[in-house]
Amino acid sequence: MNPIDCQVEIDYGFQIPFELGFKGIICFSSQPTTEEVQTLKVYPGTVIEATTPRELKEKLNRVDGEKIVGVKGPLEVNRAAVEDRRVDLILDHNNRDLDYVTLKMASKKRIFISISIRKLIVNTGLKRVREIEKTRETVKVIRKFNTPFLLTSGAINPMELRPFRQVVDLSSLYGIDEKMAMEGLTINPANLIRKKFDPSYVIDGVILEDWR
Amino acid sequence: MKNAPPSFRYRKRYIVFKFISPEWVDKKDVARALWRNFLTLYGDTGAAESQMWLEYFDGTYGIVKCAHTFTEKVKITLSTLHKISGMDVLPVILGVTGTLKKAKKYMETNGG
Repeated sequence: MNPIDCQVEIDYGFQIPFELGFKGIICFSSQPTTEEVQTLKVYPGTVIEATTPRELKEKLNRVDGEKIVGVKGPLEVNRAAVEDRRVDLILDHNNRDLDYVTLKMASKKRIFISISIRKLIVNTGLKRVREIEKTRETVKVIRKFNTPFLLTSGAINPMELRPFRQVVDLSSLYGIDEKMAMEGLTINPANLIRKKFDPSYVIDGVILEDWR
Repeated sequence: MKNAPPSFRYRKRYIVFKFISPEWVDKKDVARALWRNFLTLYGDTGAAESQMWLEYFDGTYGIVKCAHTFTEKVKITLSTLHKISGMDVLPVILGVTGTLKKAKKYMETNGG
């Protein structure tokens, strides 16, 4: 079992995810690194924050192919993002908007949807209630269309990270069972990393065995 | 009231945890934060049924007692702790045991 945290936005404290049992993290900080802390692998990612689909396209044109591309934005940006193959995942944040059509399209285009537990940790009261309610609905649609999803910590400082067993426990508040949670922490992240960094990967289910 | 017979008593679980934090945390503050979090997540009736109690806390390592049916809920409550009296904390659950003696042993083997 190799749990990977796929949405971490920290600049320091890379020792902590290793101590918490993670084998890898995808780091979306402003200065992403590919350093290794003991056996922890840090994969570089880049965040694209846009307010309009047009701005998203412009920013996507400037991204190189060496990083995992995550998108943050309002509903129309997310909808444009799931139609673009250069986008790898839709990042999670407070007040994220995803609707039925977007999730269905994400399933078709195999764009990953991040579900973070940060919303449970930093929010309190009515705000937390609303976030749980929204995410439970998202999870229902994800289950229906078998949309690829990633269970993440969404941490922006090392203290917001949690051991992967606790991430599984917390995800039960979103209506995610243990089997689904393990899929979102181990199988799906491995697929995303293979898709992005493995040169022999062609499409899902097809691998280049030999090339001369 | 006379003590209830063993079959009437609730089955207990002891959750062993530690905090990763820049400074030591006060036991009273931890207990208060734990109760506040449990009440917002599961309400008054849930809190009454959980039999939750902060059994031991030394500033870093701690043991929470609860009814065995509420183990998952107490683990979730512990995991959602984020700030205690203005200080960032990272709670790490080390394990769950059935007796206090084993919980203390567990804590010692994990560096507590």
